[in-house]
Amino acid sequence: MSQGPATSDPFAKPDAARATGTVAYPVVNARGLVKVYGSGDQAVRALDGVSLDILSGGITMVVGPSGCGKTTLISVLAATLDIDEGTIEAFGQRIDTMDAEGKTAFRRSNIGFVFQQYNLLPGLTSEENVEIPLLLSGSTRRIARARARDMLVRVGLGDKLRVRPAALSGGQQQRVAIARALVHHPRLLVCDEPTAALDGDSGRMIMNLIRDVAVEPGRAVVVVTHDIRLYGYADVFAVMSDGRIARLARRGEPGAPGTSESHS
Amino acid sequence: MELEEPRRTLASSVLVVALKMLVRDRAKFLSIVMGVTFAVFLIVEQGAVFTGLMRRSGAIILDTKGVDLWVFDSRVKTVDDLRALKDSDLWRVREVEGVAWATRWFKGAARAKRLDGRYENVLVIGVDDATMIGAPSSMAQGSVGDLVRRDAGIIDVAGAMKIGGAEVGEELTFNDKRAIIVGKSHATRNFQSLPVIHTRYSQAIQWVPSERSTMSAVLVKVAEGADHNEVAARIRAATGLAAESPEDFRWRTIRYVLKYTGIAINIGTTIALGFIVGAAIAGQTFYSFAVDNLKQFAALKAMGASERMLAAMIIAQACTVAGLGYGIGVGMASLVARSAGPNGQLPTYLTSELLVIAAGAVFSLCMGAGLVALRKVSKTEPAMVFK
Repeated sequence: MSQGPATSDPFAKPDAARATGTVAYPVVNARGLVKVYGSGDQAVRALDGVSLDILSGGITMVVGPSGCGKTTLISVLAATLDIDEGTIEAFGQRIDTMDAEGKTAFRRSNIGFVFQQYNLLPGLTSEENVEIPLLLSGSTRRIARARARDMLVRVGLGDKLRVRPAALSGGQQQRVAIARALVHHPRLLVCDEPTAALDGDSGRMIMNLIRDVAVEPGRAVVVVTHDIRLYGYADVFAVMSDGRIARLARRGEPGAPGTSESHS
Repeated sequence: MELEEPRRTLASSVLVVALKMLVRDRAKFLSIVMGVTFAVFLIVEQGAVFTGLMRRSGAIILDTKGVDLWVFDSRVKTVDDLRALKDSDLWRVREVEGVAWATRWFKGAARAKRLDGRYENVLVIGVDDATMIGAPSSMAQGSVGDLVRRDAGIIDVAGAMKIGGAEVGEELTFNDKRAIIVGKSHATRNFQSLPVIHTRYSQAIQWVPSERSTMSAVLVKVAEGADHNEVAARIRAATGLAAESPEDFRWRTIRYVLKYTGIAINIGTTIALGFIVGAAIAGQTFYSFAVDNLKQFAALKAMGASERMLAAMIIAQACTVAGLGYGIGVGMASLVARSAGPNGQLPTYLTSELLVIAAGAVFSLCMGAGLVALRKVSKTEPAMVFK
């Protein structure tokens, strides 16, 4: 696929959408995104006219070499970073025109985050960490506690409810982070190198968990990764290079990373 | 009203998260609380010593109840520096319009000696023989009426201990003249911590060698309905003497002590050092706590915590350490003051003003540290979590 505005249906249905018979549809539409860091001679165009649609019901994997703009792209898609040019529409709302307060409220309701370094609050137990998105949304502590426990049981940590992050392995911490990211039922899950701090087995376990628990109709999942072992989990690839989308491809299609025709 | 409940729920939930973040980082939490405690303890304890000393400097005036005006030589700088007045001054004061009554009052020093040879310098207060105005208002043992007995004196409780445990009924000498202890009073300790002996005026001038004139001051009660300031002004005009309310006379004494002893500078320096060191410890630790948690705060921002929520969290953390440090610091200072006792060796006197000042200082300290940390957190982009 070449650089340029993405069409509304460039790919077939992702696996989850196919499995449930639902129609995959673009939930995030980014057009002509430009993000420049610094100014004058020091200016770096981290995003240089990126256009991309994120489909519901599957995993969109953003791949590419270091410094190609992957992190900047997910930062702006997740409404945590302002863009200099372009438009982003997510779930029917223009987030590029929102003020800081509007973006905060948008993130609170619509986005779940999984970070490379987990970013769990060290003073809180697993269930207290998972409660946070619900508490920020105004849930009562009783309801938040019950949902957090359910979520931790779903990610296989029912026996670690009252354990603090320091007493958990890296894989377990990332599972807590996934539970925290999903507990408030966000419509977009953003995962930044979710397996980078983990060994191979733990990384695969985390990706299996994301595929099994996070992917569902109506929810889009974006994963940024360097790890070619994870390419098999992608429904759609966005291959980035020098701040641009170099290729868009569905898994298994010619040109998709991991296939013999790929040129990443 | 419907919005109130979710808002309260949200606020309390966010505060609970903030407090857990703070308290469960035990090493930093204890460091901050200890820093604040240290500052509060020094401010309150040294402040209490200062107020205690100032109180002691005017203790004799405080203990002389029921008096509206003190009349004394206008050149007097402090209650410990009284110059003798002529007996005729008493009559001139009594003739001033608005004076209900006026009595003579004596203050002097004597050397008290017990039969076992132990001795101690004492303050001798002589009160009007007929009315006993100026006698102790609070007795621990015996009664003021016992002063009518020959050679009788009432000693204060702390003074009795200082003199070696003098008891009621014990005979001793003041300047080699016979004296007998007929009671013990709760007189406030004075600046020099000398035992205070109350006796009749006529008895006092026998014990204490005097100049030709013996009267130290005149105690005045203003007639009902008369203006105190006007009466004081009339006394000044009629006699050329100073006439001041007990409070003004006490402040005259305190001003003298402040000006000539260096107490204010010494104690003030200690208080300032306590505040600065406490601020450095608590402020630096609180700031580093916030900086260490910057990524966590950024994660909270990314998850949808608003600036207001984060501000509430940091302010709650600052208030918590301030409150705890304040409570423990005041508690420790109170224990020290209590161990000294109301008439103990340490001149500590805790006042509500002191507690308010310490509270203001410590909450300013913590809020200042909190605001610096908040500024850092506010500048943190939520996108930082991806770096």
